[in-house]
Amino acid sequence: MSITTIQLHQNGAVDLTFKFVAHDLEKAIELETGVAIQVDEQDQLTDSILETYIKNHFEISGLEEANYLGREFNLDETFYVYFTARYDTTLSKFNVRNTLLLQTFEAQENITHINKGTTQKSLSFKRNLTNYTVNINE
Amino acid sequence: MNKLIVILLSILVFKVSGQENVNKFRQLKDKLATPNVYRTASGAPGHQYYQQQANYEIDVVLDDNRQKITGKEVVTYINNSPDPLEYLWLQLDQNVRAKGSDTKKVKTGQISKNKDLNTLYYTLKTFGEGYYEFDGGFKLTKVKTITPNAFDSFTVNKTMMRLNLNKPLAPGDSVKFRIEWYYNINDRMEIGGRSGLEYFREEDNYLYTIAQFYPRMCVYNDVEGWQNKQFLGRGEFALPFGNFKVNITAPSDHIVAATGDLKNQKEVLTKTQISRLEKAKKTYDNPVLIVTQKEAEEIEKTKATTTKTWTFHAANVRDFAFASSRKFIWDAMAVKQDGGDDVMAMSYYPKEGNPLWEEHSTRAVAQTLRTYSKYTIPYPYPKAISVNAKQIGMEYPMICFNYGRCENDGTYSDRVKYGMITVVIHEVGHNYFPMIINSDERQWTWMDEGLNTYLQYLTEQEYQEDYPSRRGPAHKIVDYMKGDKKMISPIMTNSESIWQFGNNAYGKPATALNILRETVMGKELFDYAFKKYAQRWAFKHPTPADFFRTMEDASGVDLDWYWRGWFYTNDHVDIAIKKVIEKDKKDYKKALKELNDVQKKALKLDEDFFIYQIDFENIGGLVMPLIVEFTYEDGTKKTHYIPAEIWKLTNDEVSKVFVEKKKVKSIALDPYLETADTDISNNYYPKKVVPTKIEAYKLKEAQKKSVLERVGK
Repeated sequence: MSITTIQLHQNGAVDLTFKFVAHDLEKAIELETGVAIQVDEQDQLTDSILETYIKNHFEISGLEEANYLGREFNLDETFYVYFTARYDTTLSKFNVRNTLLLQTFEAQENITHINKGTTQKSLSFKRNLTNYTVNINE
Repeated sequence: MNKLIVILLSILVFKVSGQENVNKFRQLKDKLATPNVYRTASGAPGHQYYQQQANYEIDVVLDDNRQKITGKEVVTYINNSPDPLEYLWLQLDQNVRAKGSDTKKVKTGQISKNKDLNTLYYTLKTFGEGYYEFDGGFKLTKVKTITPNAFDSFTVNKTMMRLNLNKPLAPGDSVKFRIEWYYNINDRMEIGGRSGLEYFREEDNYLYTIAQFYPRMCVYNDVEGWQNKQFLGRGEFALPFGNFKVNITAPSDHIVAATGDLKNQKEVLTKTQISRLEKAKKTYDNPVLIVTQKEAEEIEKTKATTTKTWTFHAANVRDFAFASSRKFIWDAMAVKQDGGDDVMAMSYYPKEGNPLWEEHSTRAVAQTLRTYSKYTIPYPYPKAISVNAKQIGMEYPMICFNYGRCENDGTYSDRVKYGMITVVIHEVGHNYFPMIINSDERQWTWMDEGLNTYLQYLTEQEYQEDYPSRRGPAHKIVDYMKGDKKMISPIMTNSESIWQFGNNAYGKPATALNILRETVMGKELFDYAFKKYAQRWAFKHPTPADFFRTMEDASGVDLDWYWRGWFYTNDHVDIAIKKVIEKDKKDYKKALKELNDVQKKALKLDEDFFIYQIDFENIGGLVMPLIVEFTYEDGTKKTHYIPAEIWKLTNDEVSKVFVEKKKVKSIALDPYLETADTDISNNYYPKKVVPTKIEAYKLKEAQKKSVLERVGK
């Protein structure tokens, strides 16, 4: 499974955190792109491949182009990728698409949390459910 | 009118009296099988417990030129059950790779939006009929009875084979028969598999890890009858115990590692190798090389045209497997264990595994034997082997196949190192669960994967302080447990139907046992009961109920609520501090005046006191102990541990009063993340903001820079 957390700040800033099992993500990227990466290796090419893969498989409406911030690998195989972005604070309705790892793993589940203030909306993406529209104020 | 009231009252009474008991502490009797003469209510084997036995004499030839296995076996099957058996069932696991196998047919998928070549290759390979036509599966060439007139026919049903007995096999009787077969060995790197071959293209060499290579008897017992559920590729095996005599014929320049004792070492090993092996048997601190890297590199340059036959005997094992290659480096060391004989830890690996493997494999095997023996039973077999096999981890009695390779220049990362040690510990650990404590993995994956992963965690922590364990600590299962319930199966789900296999069958049960040990029962009670389960069911076939019952019976702790919640539901832990009400001495001024001197003295009312009522809410559904930490205004702390039974009457909400001598500044519930609470934002009073991962990352990155860099100067 993967966990995506989108933090919508009152000042228009957005923090996006993607949490993966490292070897699951590596396998998905290799099968899709033919490129075998090691997420614990520090090089710009790996950064670029990760950024592209995540942007290809994750979209949320109303956000400006997300900026890749960095990544963290832990020896227990947990792996985090971070992005930042801006959003229009007047928006409350968002379309979210999440197809991370879905092609590779039959029972893949991508939990996505959208947080704004004290409100949290949680979505579960899987093979037959890859798009949601969510209203953060409802 | 009166009649109508009577009818309405009757309906009301009926509804109340018919209400189902949904209390989370109701006993588990509706879930567990009724105790009987085979399995007792205490969780121990009953006085008429029985199990079948299957003995094998096998001759197998490994053809390195055609990558083929050819075998002959004589099976002696002994019916120790009280039942006459009208037929016998055997497992034909290789048929999972036969053309037309159900395994491929039932695999689901979708067409990817990506249209690149790699995705196309993957789709065709995984789902395409006829695209990858490997001719796998057993080719049976003879199935004949040796016991006169026992059977004349047999029926193959996909991965199972039935011998159609002419007359029932009576209790206490045995039947002997011969089977001959061959099969093409699968390339693990191309089409996968728990066993198979790995091809080293540059030097045109093979490394074989061979298992499930012979028709194997199914289990027949009091719980399942014949365990002949088809093998679809996930739910592994249930096998009866027996004795094996196996002759393996392989190229004469191969080194063969296998289950059991090597019986003809003078015929297959050099004098130098025998001498080094003898030295290893007396060496307890470091592995001794039996075949060095230099020797292996020399051997792999050429190919022998002759063969050697290696003879292995194994007693009281449920299976047999082997590995063979001319590439093998081989090391070994002796291991002392409390209350048991010294045993050998061994590793076989190609140069591609070094130097990682010579540094860690055999040491990890030795640590596994020491730790598992401490918590279960002394390791009963003469040796435990770890074989290097790219990409997989798979277990068989006394031998397992494990991944972990170095870069071409011999370097390796910490990630590769810990991944390799982890898989070695896990797969060697399977010697105990399910090879010795022989549960039915075709039915209940968690009984071996979960229990094994729990002990794997303890072993990792003994191998190295602060080992980066992936599973075990409570907080590591939180992401899984707070997921969408539609994607979470209860642990008590058959192997083939489990969503999120790794989390469900490995991670959650291992964590549940770790929490049970550290947070619910305490180490002493847990360890005694867990060891008792291992002692009772070593070399037998336990069921989930036998485990649940033993853990309770041997510890004196009613755990029905825990098994029900953690194993039979997909509820999660989310307990919140809903409200805190504070009172102190001043609030009771009037009442205090009315107390007499004796009462005042008894209550020590010359000192200050502060009273706190905390309302706890159970949001997630799982009842758990409450670990409540008070931080006082002077900075000191005190922890209250309240058993889970606080929820025994009301499962959703409870209130508790605490009387403290110092004023409390803050309250934290489960402050050290010991209960797998999925939402800790509601665990604090007053509310506390927990920094997110990305905030912590930004701070860490900022701290790497000087203040001038941070402000852009």
